[in-house]
Amino acid sequence: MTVLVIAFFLLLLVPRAVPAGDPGTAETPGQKKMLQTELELAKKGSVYTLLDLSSQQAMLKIKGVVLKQFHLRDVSAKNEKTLSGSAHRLIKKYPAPPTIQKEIPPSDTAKKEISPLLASEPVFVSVGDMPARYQLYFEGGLTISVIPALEECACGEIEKGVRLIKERASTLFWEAERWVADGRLPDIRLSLSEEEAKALFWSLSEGSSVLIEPTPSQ
Amino acid sequence: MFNLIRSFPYNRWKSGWGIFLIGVLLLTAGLLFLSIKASASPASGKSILSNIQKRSPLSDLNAENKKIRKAILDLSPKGIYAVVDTAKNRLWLKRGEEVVYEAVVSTGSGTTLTDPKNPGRRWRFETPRGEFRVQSKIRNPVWIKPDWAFIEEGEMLPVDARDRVEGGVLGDYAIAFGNGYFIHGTLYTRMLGQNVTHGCIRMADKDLEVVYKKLPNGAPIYIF
Repeated sequence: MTVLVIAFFLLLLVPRAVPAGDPGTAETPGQKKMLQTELELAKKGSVYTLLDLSSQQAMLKIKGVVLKQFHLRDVSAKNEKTLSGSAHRLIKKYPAPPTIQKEIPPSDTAKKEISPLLASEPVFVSVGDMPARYQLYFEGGLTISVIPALEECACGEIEKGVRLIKERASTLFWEAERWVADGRLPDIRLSLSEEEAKALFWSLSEGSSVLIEPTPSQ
Repeated sequence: MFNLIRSFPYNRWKSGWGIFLIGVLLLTAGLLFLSIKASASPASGKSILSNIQKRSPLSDLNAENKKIRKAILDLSPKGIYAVVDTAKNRLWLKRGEEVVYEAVVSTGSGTTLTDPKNPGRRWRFETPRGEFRVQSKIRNPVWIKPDWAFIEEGEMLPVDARDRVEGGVLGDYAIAFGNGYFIHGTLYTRMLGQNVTHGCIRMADKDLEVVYKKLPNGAPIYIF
């Protein structure tokens, strides 16, 4: 009994290391660098893109506000870990977006009376005119290839097979191209729906910045 | 409980009190030892309990990341703002994440016009992208036609400035957001939803009235 009482009081004296706070979700120094870079981009007041390879999402943002989200159907990446935490400036989109030169009608001294409601169909460039398969070239040698995802089609088996072969061939060609090119350079391949691929091409401006969050380390 | 206490013999109580006193002394000695140790450490201003709690590097990282996230969040607009999607030709009025109003618009056509008399003079009719602010709001605006408006129609540039003024084509309201670009009304309502303008953002009369009344001067307009 005596021993038990003394033991009880001794236990009160054992200092316990209590965590200062709930650690919560695992934060990493890499995430801190990402957030710091995003803060710098957000301060600029121009549109930037956050490419999250782990959750397969691309987000257009400005001042921290999400303007648009794109769902990436498939992601393949090489040497992408070197990209984490840094902003990459888009230098070139290839192929270049289509341009239309307006034709000027012959000058006429008589004032033309044309009702605006009956005006002829205007010519314009729309998102539908954008390519769905393209490359994006960034400073530092990063290349992002975008291809349209193989969509389900209400077509025959032969056409489905042809589409599948085309898609596989495209993948093999990309792998071969990357093998021939400098293997040290980072390279990312994204697959989106055709509509979203075109919208992404439309939305990305040359000179804008992309921040890439790579897939977690295995 | 009272019977249990009464059942203890007097001698046993004497030894029990002794043990209790010894325990109190040990506890006091231990706390004194810890307070001396705490005063010798750099964080001497902290309480004994906080020195017992050891801070982990992970909790410091959490706190720093939380601070940066808050800094990003603080950059976002606090009141109503507008977002324009030039691909889908949509305008949203938002407050935070909440969509307050949505409208179909027309944005820049992306076409290029070259002055045939001066090939070095070119215009590209695109709606600019990025962050803008409402600079002024105008009722019953009139259009002061720029040179390209005459050139694209094959017309001669007017000598008299009054010949550039055209009323009734911009709707009941106009919202200026910089560099000569406006959100305004249109006679070409059947073209809404398409990229047909010379860079301005066109809206139907009903939608324009709502945006004009809800979007205050200085409000952000984000265009992508």
